[in-house]
Amino acid sequence: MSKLSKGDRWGFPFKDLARRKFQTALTIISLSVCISVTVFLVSFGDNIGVKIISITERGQTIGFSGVFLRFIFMVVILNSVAGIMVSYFLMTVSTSDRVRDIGIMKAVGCLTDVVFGYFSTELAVIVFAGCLLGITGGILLNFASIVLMNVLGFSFAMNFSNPWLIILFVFSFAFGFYILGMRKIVSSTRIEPAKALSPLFSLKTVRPSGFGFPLSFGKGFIAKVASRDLSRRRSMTLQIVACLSAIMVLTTLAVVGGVVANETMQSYVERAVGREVLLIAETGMAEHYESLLRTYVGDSVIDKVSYLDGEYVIPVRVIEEIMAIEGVVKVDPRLILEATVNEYPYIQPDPDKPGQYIETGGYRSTTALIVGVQPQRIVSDWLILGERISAANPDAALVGDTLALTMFQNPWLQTFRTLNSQFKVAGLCLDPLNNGLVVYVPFDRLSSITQHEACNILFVQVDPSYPLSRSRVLSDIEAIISGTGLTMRDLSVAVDGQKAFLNHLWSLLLSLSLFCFVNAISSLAGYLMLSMSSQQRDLGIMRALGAKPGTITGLALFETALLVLVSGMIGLPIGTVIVFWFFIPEAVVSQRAILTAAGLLSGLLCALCLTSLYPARRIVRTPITVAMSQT
Amino acid sequence: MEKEKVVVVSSLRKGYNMDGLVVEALNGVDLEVIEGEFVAVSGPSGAGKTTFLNIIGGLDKPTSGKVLVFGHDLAKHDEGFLATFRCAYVGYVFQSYNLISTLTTLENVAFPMQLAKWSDERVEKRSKVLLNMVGLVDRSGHFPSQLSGGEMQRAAFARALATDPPLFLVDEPTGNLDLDTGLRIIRILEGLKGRKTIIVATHDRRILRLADRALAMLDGRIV
Repeated sequence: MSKLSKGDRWGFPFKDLARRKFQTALTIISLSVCISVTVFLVSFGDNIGVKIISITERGQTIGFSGVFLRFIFMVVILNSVAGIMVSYFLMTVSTSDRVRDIGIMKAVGCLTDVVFGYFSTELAVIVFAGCLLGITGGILLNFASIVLMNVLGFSFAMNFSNPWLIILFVFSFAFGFYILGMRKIVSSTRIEPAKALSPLFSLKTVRPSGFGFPLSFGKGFIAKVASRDLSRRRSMTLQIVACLSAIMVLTTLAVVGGVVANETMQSYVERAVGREVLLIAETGMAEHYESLLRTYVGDSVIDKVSYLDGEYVIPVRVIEEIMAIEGVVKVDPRLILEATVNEYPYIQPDPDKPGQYIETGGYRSTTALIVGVQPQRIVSDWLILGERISAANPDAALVGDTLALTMFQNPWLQTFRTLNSQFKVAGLCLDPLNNGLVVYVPFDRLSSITQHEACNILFVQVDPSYPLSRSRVLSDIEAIISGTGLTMRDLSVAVDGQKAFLNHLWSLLLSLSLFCFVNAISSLAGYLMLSMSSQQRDLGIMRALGAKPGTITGLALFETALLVLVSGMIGLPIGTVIVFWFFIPEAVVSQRAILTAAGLLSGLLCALCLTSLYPARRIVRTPITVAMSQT
Repeated sequence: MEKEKVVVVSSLRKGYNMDGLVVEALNGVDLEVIEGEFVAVSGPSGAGKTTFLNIIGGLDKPTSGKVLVFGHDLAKHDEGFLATFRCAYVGYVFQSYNLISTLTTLENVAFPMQLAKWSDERVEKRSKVLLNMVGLVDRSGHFPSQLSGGEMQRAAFARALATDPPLFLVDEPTGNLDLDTGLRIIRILEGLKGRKTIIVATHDRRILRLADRALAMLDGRIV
């Protein structure tokens, strides 16, 4: 019986796969969808990352672009993990389905190594076909998305920036699947025939003494049968819950992270520039300052200005009169100028080598904007790492994130010199001004260094709680500055431009979440199809006993809803914790953000539940006698 | 008083398309069964007995011909109606028992009653009575895979009787059982005789002797 010709040994696996068309196609499709989505995310994420970096080179502070890149990195990594889990799970489901066949073959005298040969060949065929289709699908998906993004106004190059990464990834994936699948086959071929033939084993049902919800009599019949069914298929249920939970973490990160990060970054920008803030300066200086703000969105052409020229001086009278206007909350006079900033290393004795010293940092230099501010009158509310500056500590400076990250090895230890004076870094701030190449120092200190007592730019914050008085405040200021050569600009226009720019980038990144979701749908659909096809006989019996099509659909829907709910209860909090604890500092969670994220997630969860309708419909359409004859 | 005709079948045909080859499982069957009658149908394997029971039980539809059960033309109704019909009118004992693998014996017996939306107390009480009747009370918490063939058959009988259906269809009830277990099944059938309309597909002479009418099927026809 076990002495088969070479042709039989090769022929059987292909014939067997062809005989089980539906199961084979389903496993290959699920595998290929999973690979396609992951290949797509790696390549498209890479593309987006390159795009973001290229945008960052022209605009965006390093601190801001770091959030984007961290987001892409986390999504791609998590998706790869989820992809591997989903694929292994599908492999497990399809192999478990064969345990009974293995038992029958061994029972009729087939040697273990022959059985192993058959099923390992089948596995190789499935993995090869799945990977081939998956890579093709992923590449096509990537090109389709690039075309779509170009149509939507983004400019993406039609190339794979890192093909080796994709090849390495797919190879690891395929190898991983094969090894994991082989492990399953090895364990299945070792089972004694009697055990393999037992439905208790092949269906992974557990004995009454094991874990399981009791099907007590009472209301909610569908719920009880569904929960009983899931609990009896404990191994499969735990695996799909693990897979879906991983996908939920990913989806939460993509959706909640995307929505909250977008709002938070917009808030960072708004806080840095100031809310309800008017800029008053000489016309040329006002335009120059707005250009410095626009560097954040990639505007790099800025005319040179002699900051300390007398024409830019704002008279003290103007400041005092504006301060006296009712409805003005703060008046923030600043002295801005451009200067070279020189890094100084931190030198300390080497504890291991007496007489020698360790240097932290070097002697780099760059041109930055130096801004003198009166700490108690600042209208900006930057996101600060460290401490704020104060008049009591004139040598302390607040440094923009780009300057801190490009010029200092350890800004907390090092000092810097500018305008022949030495400063110590008190804190780092996220600031779009001059793209983060900015230093804030106490006004009096800068004034004494430059021997320039007057400010050259003035910010006025209007009380936002009295919107009706705003126009009156504006007209009062207009009256005060008329004839002085000064102009007034509303900075909310600049803030809106920066917020739109961030929104644009996040909408691009949020498209990644859509593909995480495709992965979730494909894994759940794969599980449901395989699970329901293995339950076909039981469902056929239920129908024969009088269960209506709606009852069967309800069962499938309830089982799916239960899986999605449990996975959601695990995945959503973990995803949220990752978002708020590790991903976004000082997150801004507005009601709008909560509603948007909740709406998106609810929609995705509902769509996941509806996935069950297709396999249920398929089962209901199968004739009862055919369904009951399934083994 | 003339008894009601429970099953009226005329010119019943059923063909299966097997890779382009049409196999006629039923080839013009005519039969009438009256209320309370016990009809046994015998015949060699492949004669069409199971297909015949499936069509009368509303599990399958005929290719042509008429099948009236309790006045309902089963060929004309949709799946939703047929499900309700099966639940209310038919108790079916399948040849391969067909117990639901993920439910215990007690839950299998309770299943049709829960589908029929009986009250909780009634379902529980009736399930226990039926399990006691077939001698499976001590096996109520076991899964089908933990039962012997005879026990599964008895559980299938208990389940078929659950909603007290007027029509009882039984396919080869003793075919896979040992002598003693077979006898136990025959005693159950004997107890039901006269109280329900019973159609049994069987080779067992003991059942054929028990029946009011014994029919033979060959090549999809009653001969």
